Amino acid sequence: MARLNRGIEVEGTVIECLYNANFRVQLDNGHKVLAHISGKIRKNYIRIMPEDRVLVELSPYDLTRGRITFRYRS
Amino acid sequence: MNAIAHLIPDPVTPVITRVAAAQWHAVEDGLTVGRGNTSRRPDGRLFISIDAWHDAVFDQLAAVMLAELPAPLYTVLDAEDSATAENWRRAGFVEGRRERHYLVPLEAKISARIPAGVTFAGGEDVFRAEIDGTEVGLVRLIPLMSSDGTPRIARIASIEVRADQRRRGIGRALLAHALDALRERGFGRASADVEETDIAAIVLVEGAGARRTSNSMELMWQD
Repeated sequence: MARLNRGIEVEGTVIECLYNANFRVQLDNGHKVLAHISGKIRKNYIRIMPEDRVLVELSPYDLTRGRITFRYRS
Repeated sequence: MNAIAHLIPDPVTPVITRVAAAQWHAVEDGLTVGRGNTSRRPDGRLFISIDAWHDAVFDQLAAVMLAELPAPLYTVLDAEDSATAENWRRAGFVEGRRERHYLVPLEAKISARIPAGVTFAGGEDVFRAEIDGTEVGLVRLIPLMSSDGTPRIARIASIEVRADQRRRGIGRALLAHALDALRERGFGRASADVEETDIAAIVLVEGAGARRTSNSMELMWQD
């Protein structure tokens, strides 16, 4: 079976909660991306707040966009 | 996703595979362009989630998953997330209940008059209000700790007052007592999810200084 490309996953810190369930996340490399919450996180009622450390999967179509796939416990 | 739809090329029809009992992948040219997942809640309800970079992939994943899963299915999303809500409506989901999410800052002591004859019992995670030793109210908390063992946030899991003892201020006094205990343990904030139709609970938590941070919406699919 061919190895599947899961996309680029990077860690970052939530710096701002935006309208429409979007978040501004500063990645560890300094870049800022617009990210929304993955359905799996939402389904588990995990709340994302400013200063949370998160794992972001970047969109393969637009590297300034992503989805938050994991929130680290601080 | 809709906001960047003009940037995204139309996808080739992805191959959708159920890769595990509760997991589906949509793959296009070796790239995972969508994922679906299910999980069952303790109350027995089956919840579904779909993440896709393109609405067309969402639709295809939804079609495959709904054909393979038993009804009813549920999903939950931020009530402000109109784009995702539209995806689910296209798949046949209809709106169910809405909840408000609150954060309660615990810096200051909450003032509340203790109704005559009421005493408090319990502590840690469960606080009880009693009259002559009989339980008339209950607050359950779920304290969450950081990895280093310091207090992170406490979730207010439930607030209950016996029906014949309501409108006496027992709930407010008991909640204030429980939140004071949290503050003394070093918690800086608590959170609560309140159903939007539960006016009494909304008045209670807002009276404790809670501020609303988001709204969530449940959607249901019935075959």
